[in-house]
Amino acid sequence: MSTVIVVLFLLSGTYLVAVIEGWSATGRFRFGGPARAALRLLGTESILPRKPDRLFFEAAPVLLLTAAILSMAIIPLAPGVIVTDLATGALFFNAALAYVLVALIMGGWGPNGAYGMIGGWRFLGQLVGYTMLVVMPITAVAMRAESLSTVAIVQSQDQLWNILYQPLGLVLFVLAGMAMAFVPPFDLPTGAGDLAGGVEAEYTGVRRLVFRLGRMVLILSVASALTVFYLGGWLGPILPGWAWSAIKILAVTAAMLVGGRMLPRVREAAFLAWCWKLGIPLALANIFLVGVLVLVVPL
Amino acid sequence: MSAQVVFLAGFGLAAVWFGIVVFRTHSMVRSALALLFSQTAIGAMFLVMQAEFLGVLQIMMMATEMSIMAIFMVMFMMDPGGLGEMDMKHQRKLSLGAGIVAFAGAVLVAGFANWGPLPTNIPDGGAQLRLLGLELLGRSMLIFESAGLTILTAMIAATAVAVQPARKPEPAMAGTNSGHDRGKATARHGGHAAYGDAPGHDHTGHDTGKYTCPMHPEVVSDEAGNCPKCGMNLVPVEDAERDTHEHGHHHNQSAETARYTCPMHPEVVSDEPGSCPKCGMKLVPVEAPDGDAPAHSHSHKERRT
Repeated sequence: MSTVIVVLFLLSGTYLVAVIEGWSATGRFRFGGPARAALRLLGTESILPRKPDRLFFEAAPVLLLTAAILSMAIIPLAPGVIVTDLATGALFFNAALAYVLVALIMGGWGPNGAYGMIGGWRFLGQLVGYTMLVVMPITAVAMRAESLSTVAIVQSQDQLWNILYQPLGLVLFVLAGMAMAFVPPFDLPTGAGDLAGGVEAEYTGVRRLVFRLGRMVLILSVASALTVFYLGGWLGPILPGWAWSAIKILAVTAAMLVGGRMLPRVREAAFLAWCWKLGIPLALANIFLVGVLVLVVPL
Repeated sequence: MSAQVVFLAGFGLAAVWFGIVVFRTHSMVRSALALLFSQTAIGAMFLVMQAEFLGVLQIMMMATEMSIMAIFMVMFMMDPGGLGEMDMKHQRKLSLGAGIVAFAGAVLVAGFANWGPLPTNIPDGGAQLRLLGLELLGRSMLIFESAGLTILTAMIAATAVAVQPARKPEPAMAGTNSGHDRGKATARHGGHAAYGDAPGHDHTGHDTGKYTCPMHPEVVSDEAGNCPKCGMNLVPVEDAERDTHEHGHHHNQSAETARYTCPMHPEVVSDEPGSCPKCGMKLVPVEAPDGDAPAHSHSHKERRT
């Protein structure tokens, strides 16, 4: 039952993320936009580049979609509404999304094109920057919950949401999550107007559709994780839990996509420097602060 | 229980198969990602065996590690895409023997070790995490700390070995004539060592004291430095000249006996087909473009004089 609800949530959520992305890019709220775009891509010829690494080329969009969907398996939408409440849930989220990198490298390498390849390797550079800033804030969150289970993490925020308990971790996690989902300003791997679309450059038709679908699920997944880790998941007054989850996730998605558009693109080398010279020391400080808080203020 | 065994066997076979694929492919990236999926299958085996934390950790770590390995292979290998049919198998006899010995050892250990009774009540994921944490921070703390220190030392040592000191101009070069010659001789010998050449090829008398770019022979400079066109290190002219000498030499011999050379490393010459000891590419027969090489070396000399 809860799996069915999660699947419905995935379908509608992905569609709404696509609508919000269109809104952030064009400034117009068009509910038919994603459907029209999907139909157009379905009708487009799916071109196979010359001398591709066929296996990588075909597998990459599917792997991206699979990894993003798998990472949604540990997101609790309401009490009891979760595909699988793993004891290692918070770690599993990161493990599933590590394969986004593999998908982008395969998708960049596969078509035998320079733009795609550079886009794929750019994302590897980006990963070396953000990956520690995903894991270390999650560590602090898990410290407070004394568990890696996402359900326990939501329950630990009953008194005070983590956005107030560890705001530093939130900031780091938002930025790292945006880089993980390669949304602007961290969209160098697939940025329109740069490298002719990078990894997406050689993908057309239905393959591109699957790739973009995977990316939408990925954005939804990052927003959901942010909601679970920092915004108290389903917790909230009056409204039922699932409604709070939906509202928070959509708000986070909109904030990420619209806010990101306001910033200039970050080159992956500069991103690396910021992450390692500033981000990781801050993440360590965050772990230390939360550790002290957990010991001193039993909240 | 039986479903567990079936899944375990399936993932195990997948791990072995991807391990074989690592060596069946010519493409570096394919090879690295095949290794990744082999390791992922092992992670899935951990999950089947209800070692949840270890499985998830394995699946997570390998994705990043193998991707980083892939880009290093692409950066440092001559033929990352496998278009030159680079061979992944080196030192076949030795590795085959080592493989057989290791496999036999593993089979022996698996067969004869006393594994004790099968655990009946496996703790759930949360309890496992707790036990693992107590183990790591308690009894095994010393091992992990010393292992970490060892790895750190190895990293520093490897970096120190790998960092090439910046090539400084010899102070004697600006001085007297004899000092000038000595400085150049040192540089030349260094160059020879780097190219792995046999001694006895020195043509000290031909030394013109000039440096040129290996890629752009028209670039000639009086002092060592970088090529203004491509940024490569300039090499003493002596080297380039020796190369052309060697070429001519080989052309003469190729008329009599078939010789093989590496497409990327012309200094590698062998009497038998095989793979290049430097980069592993297949050696190709030496072709004799008769009019080309002499004209080439001729133009070299013209430019120099």
